[in-house]
Amino acid sequence: MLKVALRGLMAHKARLITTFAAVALGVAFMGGVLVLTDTMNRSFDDLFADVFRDTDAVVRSDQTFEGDFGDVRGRIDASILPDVESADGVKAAAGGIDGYAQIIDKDGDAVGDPAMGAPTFGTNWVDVDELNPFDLTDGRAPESDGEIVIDRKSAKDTGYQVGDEVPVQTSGSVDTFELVGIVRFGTADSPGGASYVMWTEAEAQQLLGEAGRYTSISAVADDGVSQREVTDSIETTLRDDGVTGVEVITGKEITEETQSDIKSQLSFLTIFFLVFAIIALFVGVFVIYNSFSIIVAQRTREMALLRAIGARRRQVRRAVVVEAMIVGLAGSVLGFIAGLGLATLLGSFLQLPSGGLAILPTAVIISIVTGLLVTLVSALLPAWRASRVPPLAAMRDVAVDRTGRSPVRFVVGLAVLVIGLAIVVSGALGQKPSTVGLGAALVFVSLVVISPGLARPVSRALGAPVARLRGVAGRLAKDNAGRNPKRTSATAQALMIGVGLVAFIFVINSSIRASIDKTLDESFVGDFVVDSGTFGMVGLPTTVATDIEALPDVALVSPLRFSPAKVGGDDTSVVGTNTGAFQLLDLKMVDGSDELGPGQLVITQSKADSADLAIGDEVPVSFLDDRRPAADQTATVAGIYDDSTAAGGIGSWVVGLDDFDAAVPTVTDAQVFVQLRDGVSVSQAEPEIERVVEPYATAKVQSVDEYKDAIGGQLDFFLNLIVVLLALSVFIAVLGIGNTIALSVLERTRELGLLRAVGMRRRQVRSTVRWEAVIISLFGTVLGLAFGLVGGWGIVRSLRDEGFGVFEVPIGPFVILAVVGALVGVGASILPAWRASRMNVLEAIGAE
Amino acid sequence: MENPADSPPPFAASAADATPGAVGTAPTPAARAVGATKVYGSGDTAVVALDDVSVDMPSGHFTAVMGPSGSGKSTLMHCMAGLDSLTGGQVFIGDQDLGDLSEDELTLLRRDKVGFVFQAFNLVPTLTAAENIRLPLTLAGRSADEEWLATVVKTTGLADRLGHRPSELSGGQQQRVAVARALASRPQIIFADEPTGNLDSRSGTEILDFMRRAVREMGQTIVMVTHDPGAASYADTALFLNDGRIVDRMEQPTAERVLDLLKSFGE
Repeated sequence: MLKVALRGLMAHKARLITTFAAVALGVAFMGGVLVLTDTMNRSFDDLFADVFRDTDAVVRSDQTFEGDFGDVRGRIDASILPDVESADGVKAAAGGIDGYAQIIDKDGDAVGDPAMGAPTFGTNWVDVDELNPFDLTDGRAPESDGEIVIDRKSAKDTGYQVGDEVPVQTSGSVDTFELVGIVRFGTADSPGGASYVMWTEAEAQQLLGEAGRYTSISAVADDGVSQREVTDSIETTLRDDGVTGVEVITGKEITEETQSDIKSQLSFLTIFFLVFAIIALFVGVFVIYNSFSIIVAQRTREMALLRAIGARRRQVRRAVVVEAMIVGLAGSVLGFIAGLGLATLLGSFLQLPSGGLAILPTAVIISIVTGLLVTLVSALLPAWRASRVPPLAAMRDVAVDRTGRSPVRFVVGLAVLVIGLAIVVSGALGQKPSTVGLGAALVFVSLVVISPGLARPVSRALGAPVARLRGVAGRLAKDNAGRNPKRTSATAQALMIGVGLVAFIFVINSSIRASIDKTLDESFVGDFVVDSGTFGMVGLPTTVATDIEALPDVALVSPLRFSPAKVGGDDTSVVGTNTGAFQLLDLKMVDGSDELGPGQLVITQSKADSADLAIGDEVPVSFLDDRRPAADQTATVAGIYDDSTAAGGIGSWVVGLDDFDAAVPTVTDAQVFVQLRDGVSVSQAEPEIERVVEPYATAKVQSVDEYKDAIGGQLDFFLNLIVVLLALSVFIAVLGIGNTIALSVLERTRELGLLRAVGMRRRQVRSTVRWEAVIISLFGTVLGLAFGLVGGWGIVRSLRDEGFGVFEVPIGPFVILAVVGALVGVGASILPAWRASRMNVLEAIGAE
Repeated sequence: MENPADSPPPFAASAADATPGAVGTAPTPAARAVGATKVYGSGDTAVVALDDVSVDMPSGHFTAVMGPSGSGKSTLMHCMAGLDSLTGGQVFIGDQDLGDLSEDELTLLRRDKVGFVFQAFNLVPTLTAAENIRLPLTLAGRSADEEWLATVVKTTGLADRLGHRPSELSGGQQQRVAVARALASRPQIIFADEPTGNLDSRSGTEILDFMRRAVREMGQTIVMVTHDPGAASYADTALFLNDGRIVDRMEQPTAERVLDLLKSFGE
C-alpha cells in the first residue's frame, strides 16, 4: 500500500502543490518568527552579558512601581558611593545615571523614535574602565559641562564629527553640546541600535535625573573576591552605616534580570506575530482539507478498485494519510528553510548585530511538528472518507457530487448561530468583551457548519447578476459555484477567516477614530495641542507651557504631566494639571470643585464608584522618589468629574501642578493644551506657538484637526501592520480558491469538452471558470464581512465606556474589501481558466 | 466478430462514384471530404486512420457510417465536424473549407452549423433539459426560432420533462434531449457518434426513430457513426469503412444486408 500511496502522490503531485504551499507558507511564517525571536534573545543575552561583564555588584533603590512600560525604580543618593567604595573587596565603584536623551540631527529632526524603535538613552560617562562597556574610537571622554560623547551609529547616521556642536533634547531642555568623543560598544557601533549621549556625571545628573542622585552604583571586586562575597560585604557596610532603601545584587543577578526583562518584552512581540502565523496555518487547514477531499473524490474509482481487489479500509486510509504526511513533511521542511530567509531579512531590517541566526532545536521541532500536524489533521477526514468508498463504486459511474444539503446540519448550525449571536449581543450590552469573543467564536463555528447549506442560495444570489451580464457563461459559473456546496463553502471559509479578521480590525479602527473625533468635537474647546511625540519618554520641558502662556494671543494653557505613583497602596499613574484642563476638555464636575488647590485631588466618577470615595475623603498619594516629607503625602478628594462621555477623561487621579512638581523629581509634560484669546485665529497664532516649540525636535504643534489626524495616523500604523500580517492568510486562501477551481475544472473535463464541441468559445470557457471563482471568493468575502461586522460591533459596544462611544461601519474599506475579494477570485482563476480553455475537445470528451 | 487484420477486398469505385451527389436531391452536399488523410504518430509507429477518403454527405439525408473498430469511422466524423484536423486533404461544411479556419472560427462553425450527439455524457448536468436544448443558441447569443423549437420539443415527446435536470431523466430521454439540442439551431448537419451505444434496445429504437423523423419530416441532415446493423437500417445510406478507406456503400440498408456485408469483411 505504501507503494500505491507513493505512486498516487507522484501521479497527482500537481494537485498537491497548493497543499504543499499552504503548509510551507504557514510554517515559514512560524519558523521565521521563532528563529528571529531566538536570535534576538541571543543577541540581547550577549549584549547584557557584555554590558555587565566586569560588574560584580550593583546597589540600587529597593523602591519599585509598576508602570505602563514595565517596572520603574527609584534613585539612590550619591552620598553612599564612598561607603560602597570603602567596603571590603571593592576594587572600584561608580555611580550611573540613566535617562532619555534625543540627539537632534543637522536638519533639526530627532534621531530615532523611542516610541517605535530602539531606545534613545542618555547616561553619564563612567571613568572606571571595568564598568564602562564603551570604548572611544575618536576623541576623548567628556571632562566638563557642555561636552558629550555619542555612539558611533548615531555619529554615522547624522554625520556629526568630533568638534561639532550637537543639539540634544532632554527632559529639561534642548541645549547644544560640544561633541568631544565617539564611542563604540565592543565591536558594534551601538548596543542593539540604541542611541547614546554621555555627559559628565554632574551634568548627567542635572539633565537626566536629580543632582546628587544616581540610578544605581556598580562595583568591581578585587581579584580573587567572588561576586557573592563583594555583594555581601557592600550590604554589610551599608547596613552598618545606616543606609536604608537600597538593595545590593550581584553582577550575575543584574545580568539575568535584565536579560529576562528584555525576553518578556520580546515574548509579547513573539506572541503577537505567532498569532498571525497560527491564523495562516488555520486557514491552511481549510485549504489542505479541501484539496484532499477533492482528490479523494476524484480518485473514488481508484480507491474502489483497490478495495475490490482486496485492500482493507485501513489500508486505503493509510495510503491517504501517508500521502498527507509526505506532503506535510516536505512543506514543513521547505517552509522552515524559507522561514530562515524571512528571519534573516527581518533581522537585517531590525538591525540586529550580525552573528548569524540562532537556530535552536526547539524552533525547528515546533515548526515542523506543527506543519506536519496541521496537514495530518486536515487530511484525516478525507482519508476516512476514502476508506468508506464501497468496492462497488469501481463499477459505477463516478458520482462526485456530495450535496451537503443535510437539513439536520443546517438546523444545528442555525441554532449555534442564534446562540452565538445571542452571546455576542449579551456580551456587548453587558460590556464584557470576553463574552463577545466567545460568542464570535460560536458564530464562526456556526458559519462553518451552515455555509455548505448557504453555498447554493448565496452563489445563486451572487451569481444572478453575473448570469444576466455574462449570459450562458455566467449562468454556468453560477451553477458550478453552487454545485458542490461543501467544496465551495470550505474554499470560501478559508477566505472568510482572513477577510473576517481584516474587516473586524477595520470596524474597530473606524469606530475608535469616530469615537475620538466625536469626543474631541464635543469636548475639546481648545485650539491647539502640543504633543511631546515620544509617548512622554523624553517629554517636554515645563518651560514650553510657560512660554506659550506668555504669548499675547494665548488665553489658557493646560499641561498634562504623568508620573507613576502609589495611591492608597496601589501602583498607578497620577496626572498633574491645572483647573484649565477641565475647561478645555469640557469635563463636567459631578461633585466638589476642580480648583486643584494644594493637597487637593480630583477623581473620576468611575473611580469614586469603584474605590468607594466621596468628597472630603483622605487618600495617601506618593510618587517615586517623592521629595515631600511623608506627612504631606496625603491628598483630599476635592472634586469628582464625569468621565463617561470623554473616554476616561484625563486620568483617574488628578492633582494640581504645584503638588505634582513638589513631589516628582523630574517633571516633563506629555501634552500641553492651548486655548487662544477670543478673536485670534488659529492660523494667526500657529507661527508664534511653533516658534516656542521649534527647538524640541520631537514635539508637534497640532490644531484640533491635526491632532485627530495624528491619532488616526498612529492607529493606521497598527491597522496596516495587522492587515499586512493577515495578508498571508488571505493569500493562502486565494491559493485554495485557485486549487479548488483547478481541480473542479479537471473533474469537469468532459463537460467542458462537450461545451466546446457544441460551440462554446474559449473566451466563454475562461469566463465561466473566472466567474465561478469570483462567486466563490465573493461568498467568502461576504461571510467574512458579516463576521467582521458582528464581532466588531460586539467588541465596540462592549467597550462603550472605555472610549468606544461610537460604532461606525467602515463603508469605504468594506467596499474595497468586496472589490478585492472579487479581484482575488479573478486572480485565482487565471491559470485554471487558461488551462480549461486550452484543452483538446476530443480528448476532453473521451476523458474519464 | 470481424478481423480487421485481414485485408478487405478493394472497392476502388466507391470514392469516385460518390462525389457528385450520387443519391441526394440537393445540389450542394451538407458536408464533403476530399482526399481526407489522417495519420497518427510518425515513422515506424505511424497509424493511418484515414487513407485518402473522398465522400459527400448529401443534404436532407440520413447517412450511417459503419465499420469495425479501428476502421477510421470516428476519425472521419471528428474531422468532418471540425473537432479534429486532417494530415492531408480537405473537408468542407457546405462551401467552407475547414482547413482555412482558425480555432475560434471552427468553434463558431460548430456552434452555428453543426450539431452533435455523443454516445454518452451528452448534456451539461447543471442545466435543465430545456436549457440544454437551447444551449447552442444561448452560447451564440441568438434568439431561438420558437416555432421550430416547439416542433422539435414536440417530436421528442419530452414536453413535460423540460424542467428536469439530466440526472432526473432516463438514458433514452437524455439522448432525445441531446438530439433535440442538436436540432435546435437548425444546423446544416448533425453528427451522431454511436448515439445508441449506451442505451437499451427500446430506448435506442426511440432515438433512431426520432432521428429518422428529423430527416424525413424536418429536412435535417444527419451523419451517424455506428457499428450496430440495426441502427444502420434506419439510415438512407450506409457507408462502410475499413482500414481508413471507404470500402462499400449501401442504399436503403436493412439490418440483414448490413450484417451480411460486415461478415464479408471478416472472411
